[in-house]
Amino acid sequence: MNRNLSTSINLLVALAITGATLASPLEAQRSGVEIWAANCGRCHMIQPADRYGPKAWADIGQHMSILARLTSAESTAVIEFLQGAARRIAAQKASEETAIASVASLSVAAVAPRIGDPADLYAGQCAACHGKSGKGDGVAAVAFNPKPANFADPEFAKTLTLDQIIAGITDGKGAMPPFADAIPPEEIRALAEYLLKLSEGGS
Amino acid sequence: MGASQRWRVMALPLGLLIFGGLGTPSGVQAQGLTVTGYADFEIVGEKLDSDNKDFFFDQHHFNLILLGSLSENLFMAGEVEYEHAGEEVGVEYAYFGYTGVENVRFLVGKFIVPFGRFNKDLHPTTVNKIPGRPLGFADILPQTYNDVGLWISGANPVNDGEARFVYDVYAVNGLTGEDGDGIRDLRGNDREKAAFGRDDNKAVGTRIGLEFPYSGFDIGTSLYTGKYAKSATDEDLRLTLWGVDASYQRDGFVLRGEMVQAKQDATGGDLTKTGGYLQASYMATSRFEPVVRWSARNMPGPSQDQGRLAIGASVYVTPAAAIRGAFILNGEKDGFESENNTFNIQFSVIL
Repeated sequence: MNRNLSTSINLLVALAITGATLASPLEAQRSGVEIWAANCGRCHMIQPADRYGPKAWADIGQHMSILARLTSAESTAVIEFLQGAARRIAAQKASEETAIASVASLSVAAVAPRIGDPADLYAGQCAACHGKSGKGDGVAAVAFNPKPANFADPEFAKTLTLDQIIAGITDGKGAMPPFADAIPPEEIRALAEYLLKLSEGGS
Repeated sequence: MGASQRWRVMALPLGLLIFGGLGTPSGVQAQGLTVTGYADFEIVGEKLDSDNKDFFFDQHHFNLILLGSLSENLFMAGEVEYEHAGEEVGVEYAYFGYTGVENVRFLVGKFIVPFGRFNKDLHPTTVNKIPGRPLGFADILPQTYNDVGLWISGANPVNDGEARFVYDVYAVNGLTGEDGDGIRDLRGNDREKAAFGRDDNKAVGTRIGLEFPYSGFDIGTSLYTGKYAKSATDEDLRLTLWGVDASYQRDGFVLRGEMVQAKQDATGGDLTKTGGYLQASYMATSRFEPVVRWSARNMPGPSQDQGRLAIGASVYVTPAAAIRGAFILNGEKDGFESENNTFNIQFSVIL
């Protein structure tokens, strides 16, 4: 290797550091679920969040962020989203096991599940594909055919019943995975009612 | 290169690693390795139009990927490959990465050279939608090309994070061999060939690109250059590769293309080799994805020019498992056998 090569490498390193210094703020502009859906699904089928645990997602995220060429903020946002989702699903399963045990000991009230805000649930679990307004235009929609359901379409809304929506969320439909393991039945019902309101033009 | 020059090259990344702050061990992340990977099984028929058909089963890959965070900003990644039912064992990559500088990763070790997309990102069978490689991406860009050296990988947000400017720069031991060798034969720096890199054939390369992930579009260009041999008269012989790649994705439709051209010095006359592919796939349903790929190569001798049409489909049994089938038609010129069409049925899983 000659002097020119040595100089070139030093210049490239300096350029890289300069680029880092000029980079935008640490905060990612998109949410973790949006970044995950739009980037990971470009090369391979998106893996469900409970496929791995939080530590594994941290390790996988470091490596895959290089392959996907994510910025630091995007990488952090995706890893935190996947870790959070994995923890939530694990906690839900543990809660269900506790509930079963508690029912057996007639202490149902102590473990009655708290129903979360369906709008928050929708934003966290659904908006990446179905869009913020339920129009089926989330950032991940570019990867799917058929496109995610458009709950804002009045014609489509007429064909929906509450039970159908609950079944769709619970068991999955088309490219959408089942959420039975991720969301408790009470919250699925609340979410389905929220989606019906979306289809009627409210929220 | 003298010892002092070597240290000058190494000083900055090493200084960043040592003095830039490795961070403190981060609790659970510092403990143990995460093991993932991929594996596949294939049923293959070759030379379908000849009297010497080959039909065989292959456990093509059983590749274990080991990942670990050593501290907040330092991690390692390695892939141990067991190919063809363990007949070929090797290390695909094994590198340390430092992430303490915003939007830049400093990587050292053995890595898959970031030239284009197919070599680094798209060749694993869990991603590659047609079993096998497109023409030009086995013998012009030698696949899978991994090497030992330094790599800086960066991604900067553009337009408020709606797009990214990405770049990779690297210095590696480089492809090495004899005057006029086929490029695929230039891989490897083992003891007999290059004394583990103790030769004068270091190489540098880069890829820069623009990505619009929320519009489904990306484009990039790559360059690699280095000496690969000495001529009989002791002149340096260089190999330079350049390429472009692009993809567009919309509503389950993915169009992807890539080309590579090599300029190879040789005593008998400089060699120019060009190859490329165009691939289209469509998620017809949530589990079924047909795909077609056309690839071609132009080599120094017209007898080596070739075209290949691959038609196939994937059925996704689960998000982590796919059954792929492909029929591969090889259109060849004079001097080649014309009877080597193949089929491949493959079952691949993400571990």
